[in-house]
Amino acid sequence: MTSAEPRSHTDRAHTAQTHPFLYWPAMSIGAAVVVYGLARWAPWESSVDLDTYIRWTIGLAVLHDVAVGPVVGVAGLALAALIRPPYRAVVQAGVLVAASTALFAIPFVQGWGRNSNDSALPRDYGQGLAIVLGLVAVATIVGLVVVAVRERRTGSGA
Amino acid sequence: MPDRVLTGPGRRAWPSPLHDERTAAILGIALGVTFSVCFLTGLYSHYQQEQNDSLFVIPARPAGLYRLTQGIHVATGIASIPLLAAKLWTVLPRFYEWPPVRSVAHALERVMLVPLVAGSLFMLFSGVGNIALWRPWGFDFRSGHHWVAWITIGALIAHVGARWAVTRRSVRRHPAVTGRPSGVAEPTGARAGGLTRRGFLTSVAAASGVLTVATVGQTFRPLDRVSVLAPRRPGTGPQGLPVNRTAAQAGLAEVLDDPGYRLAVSWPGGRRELTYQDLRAMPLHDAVLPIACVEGWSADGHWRGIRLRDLAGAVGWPDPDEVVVRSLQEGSLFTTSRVNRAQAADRDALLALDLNGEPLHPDHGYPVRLVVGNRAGVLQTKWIGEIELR
Repeated sequence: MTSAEPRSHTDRAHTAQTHPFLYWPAMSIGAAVVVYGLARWAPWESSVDLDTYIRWTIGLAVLHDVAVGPVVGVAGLALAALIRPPYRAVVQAGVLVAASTALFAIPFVQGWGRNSNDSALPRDYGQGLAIVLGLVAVATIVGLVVVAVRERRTGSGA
Repeated sequence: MPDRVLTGPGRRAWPSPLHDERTAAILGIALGVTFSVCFLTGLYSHYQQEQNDSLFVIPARPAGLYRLTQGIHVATGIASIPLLAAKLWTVLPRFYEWPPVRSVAHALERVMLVPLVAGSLFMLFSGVGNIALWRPWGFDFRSGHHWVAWITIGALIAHVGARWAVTRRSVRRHPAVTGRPSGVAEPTGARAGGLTRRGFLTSVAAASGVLTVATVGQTFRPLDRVSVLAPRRPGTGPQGLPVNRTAAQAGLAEVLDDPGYRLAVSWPGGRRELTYQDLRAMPLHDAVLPIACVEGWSADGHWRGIRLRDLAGAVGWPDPDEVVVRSLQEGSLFTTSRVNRAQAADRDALLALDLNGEPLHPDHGYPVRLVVGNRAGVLQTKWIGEIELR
């Protein structure tokens, strides 16, 4: 595979994209802070094994890049195939809000953290999520109606 | 200058405007702000829990300061979830960038993305897991969340330095700067009826807003009824106040029934034991103070108890430099807490006996607990067995 742009051009392009006075100081300070954090949280300072640390740090990033990202991409393609413009944008917005809320709510709805303390996690989170998703659905439907009315007016006026 | 995230042959596979530099820059700025807020408020919380006053002395006032900072910490972290998801989606083509490395500077920039992406995901994942009381990771949350915050913020500093010029150029609105490069077709997202950049960013902001409203009622009481996903309700719990750990969870349910309970008070050169009745017979003071948990919830309580400074005066050791409070609970990281001189001298620093007009419920620390303004909830020691005036 060769680049569509000459190598020399991309080299110059990246050099031009870096700030002449900010890049190296920021990179140096940032790297030092990263090393400081890594050293202080080094696995050898804890009884927890290296596998555990890797699983919950790098593992999350790999999971995102290898699984979550492609799944979102496929879902986006499916939306594009199933819903025609100009309704697609409204549905995409609704799905984005609904998916973010559902993602956050998973451990609450599942109740993985529930214990004998009745004041902790006191709500019915399944019901709460249903309420939020219902409101998002209503907002999405209203948006679709607005788009439909606008499209009809535009069409009749043409 | 191309303003697309991706250059090279993969460019045509990601035609949406949602993957361009301007979208990435705006989301990056928003995340830079929210992560900085989380980092600073998190540092303050961690410093409180370290209890060593090595940098500055934490005052007892304003009493609601920790409630505010930790409420902001958790709320901002939650609001960051859609931002991070959108940012990762926007820059996902970079994962397939070709050539993968174009220069030393570019290689370093890409290397620093590993701690940035991994750290960001870890911070939000562990933060949500912690407030959901779901901690499947097998290591101490406080330590992990704190040190990965340093790793993440270091990577963020490097990323800001690496992307400063591009970001600055991208957020400028001048069409000559942000317009399409010649020969590159207009992004098809808007033209094809998908979300425009503005629509995408508005949707992300809406998602952050929905999550905030759905949870912030755990500390901002007016929104309690609408915060249907909040981990706590300020008015739900024994005596109308949530608890983080019950007496049964602390293994103290039977210990607290012991009629032989004594509060041991010691000071240089002296020691005294006080019964519950002795404590009741001392001058009692009323104060409204919040319990503000590291998990982001908070609630006001009407407390009645003995001022720390009154107790110190009564035993003949007024104005102590430090008060060390020890719980009857064993095996907890916060069995012992330290009250600094400024806090101990505060008029509302109490050894509380009553909450909301009743003797303390066992889950709230019966027979006596510590309540001082501007302290993390884990430092408001419950079930006190011993007090050392230094």
